[in-house]
Amino acid sequence: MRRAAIFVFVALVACVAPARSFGSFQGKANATAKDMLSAVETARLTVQLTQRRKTFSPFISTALGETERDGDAIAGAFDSVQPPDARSDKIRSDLDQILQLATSTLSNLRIAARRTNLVQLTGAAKPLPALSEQLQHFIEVNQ
Amino acid sequence: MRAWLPLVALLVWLTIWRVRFSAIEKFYGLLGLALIVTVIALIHSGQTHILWPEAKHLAPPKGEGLPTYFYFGIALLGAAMTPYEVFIFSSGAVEEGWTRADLMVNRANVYIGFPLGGIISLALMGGAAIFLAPRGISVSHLSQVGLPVSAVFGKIGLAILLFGMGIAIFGAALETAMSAGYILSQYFGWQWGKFVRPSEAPRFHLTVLVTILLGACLALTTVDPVKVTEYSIVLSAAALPLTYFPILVVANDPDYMGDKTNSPPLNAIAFAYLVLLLVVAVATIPLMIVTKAGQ
Repeated sequence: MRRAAIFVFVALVACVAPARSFGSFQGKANATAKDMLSAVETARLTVQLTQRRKTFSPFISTALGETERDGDAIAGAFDSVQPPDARSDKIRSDLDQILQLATSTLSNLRIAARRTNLVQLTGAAKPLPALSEQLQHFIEVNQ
Repeated sequence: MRAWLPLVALLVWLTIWRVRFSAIEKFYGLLGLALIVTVIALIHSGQTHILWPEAKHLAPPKGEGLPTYFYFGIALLGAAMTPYEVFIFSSGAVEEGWTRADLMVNRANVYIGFPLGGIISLALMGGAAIFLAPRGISVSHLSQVGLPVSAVFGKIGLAILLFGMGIAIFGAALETAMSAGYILSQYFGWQWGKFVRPSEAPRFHLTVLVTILLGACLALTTVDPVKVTEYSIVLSAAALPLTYFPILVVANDPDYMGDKTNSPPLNAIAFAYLVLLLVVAVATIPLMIVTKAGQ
């Protein structure tokens, strides 16, 4: 009973609350961009280490599989937040474009990694620097 | 993806069932030293000077509030000292039949082994601060921990790190499963331990088996194991005074300790630490709510 209560408590603490104002929505968008930047940069660093032959195929596959899952979860969580006004719609639209490109890029990386194809992996990683810049710019603008 | 989990669970159970306590302790303790590669990698990176300014200036990082800073501080304390370790350590003393002659080994363990573990933890954090934080990477998976070592030492370093991590995680699974058996058996007054035949301590072994099964079932769900660990260590920190205080009482009881009771200076340090743990215990849940578990 006590364990169940702790579990419910932790689940409640970890829940994403709905955005009730523009400021709140902007804060959630900013946090989403930071989380996605973390996933994108992890993928970027993993690819760089792969290109320098500093890591193993199973490790690359695992790491990039995790970044893909993270990316999907981050984008999915943001999509479920209700934008409260028109200004929030604009932020949502801007960030959604970046998130969509990020999730598809992370998926392509995972596919290339599981095929252990370095050429395909290098090609799939090309959008990462631009994505990273876009996310950093979004974070700065929406601080 | 997680199809290997039942196999690992079986291996954990078989190890506890078949291998002697002292063999488990020495084998996993010594092989876990492979994690020293994180310390060597950090030094070899030649970038430790980056860490000093922040280390000297104790304040939250830019953009992080004091509550979140203290929440993660509590998480670190909980990770370094969890209540289950008290049970595995004290039960281990009975399992191995410690005498006064073992005091030196245990002092070495406390004065060398524990700080070494702390240095490895610091090296992991230092590696993340140098290689990951500047890129905006927030560590949420074990695989990310391998990236700094891989960047410094390449495949060999990564292989040593993964080996050490595997040993440490497997060792932790053994410890927590056995600890569950010790805690429940000692609470209910059942016969416990690996120093008797399994047929003489059936409820102890059943508890261990059920714990392993529950752990494996939890790991087979989509629950994030890192998050589960994070929440459990934070809640452990809140419970620390409940295990620390009785030990402090016993450490001052000549009936148990003979002439080895705590000295007054040691008691002063121990009491100051108890006060710290009480503050932590009171602050943990409010900080967890205020910071949304450090988010």
